[in-house]
Amino acid sequence: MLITRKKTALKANPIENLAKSAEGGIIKINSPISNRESYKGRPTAIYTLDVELSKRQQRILDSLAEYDSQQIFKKDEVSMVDLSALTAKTGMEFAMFTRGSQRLVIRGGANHVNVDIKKAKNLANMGYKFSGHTHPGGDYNCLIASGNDYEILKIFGQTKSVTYNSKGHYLTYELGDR
Amino acid sequence: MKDYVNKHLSDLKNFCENENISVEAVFALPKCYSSDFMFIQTYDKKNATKGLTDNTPADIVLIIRKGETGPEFELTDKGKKLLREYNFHS
Repeated sequence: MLITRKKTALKANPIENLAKSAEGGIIKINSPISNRESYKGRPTAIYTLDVELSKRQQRILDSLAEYDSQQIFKKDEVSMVDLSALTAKTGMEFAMFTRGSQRLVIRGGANHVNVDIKKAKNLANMGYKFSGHTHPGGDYNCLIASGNDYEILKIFGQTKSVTYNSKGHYLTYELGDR
Repeated sequence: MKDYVNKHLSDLKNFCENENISVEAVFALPKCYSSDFMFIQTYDKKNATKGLTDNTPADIVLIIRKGETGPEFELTDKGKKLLREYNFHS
């Protein structure tokens, strides 16, 4: 009966339970190798258990091998969750800008992306919108918006954007009414 | 969380009234939020000129959380000063 209940709990939230299992040192019982395969590409599993990126994410990372490298993708080739996974794997920030069907991704460092006000204005003039960026870390504290995050929204003529952490969690940040 | 706050607007207004702070200021300030909580923030625009090259978090003046029986509010020291001054000057 106990086993049945445990299985039900695992089904309900497999990623969190996998992480808990690892913390408890019983990963072999609750997550056989075949299960680990299915967690590929999931930010929480990458951050907590260092599982692999998905093939698509690995391709993205390969094209952004160095600090400040940038790459344009089709809109359906990369998402903010993918960037969260890359941040979980590398410990580096990534930022994404969208123009029509294109997404521009820029790789940053451990605590910033090299997009200052001048570069942001250039991107805005080119027609890009600021889709979001990532901050390394596993809690919500690392996601609290900065004054710079808010000011950059104004450059892109937006009222809000998102920041993702290394576990795929995100906060929306939004300008006030005035 | 925005919808939740709007749904419980009367609670927020009561809280602001009891704390003698401006509800208008709460809406006027920038905010970041998840599905369970919201941080109302403030920052100095003169120091926010670095784009994505600086992540220093903006100050939090008010925290709103989903509680078991309704919204929970936590006013920070910064919030007490700023939101009451806003009330005074407005």
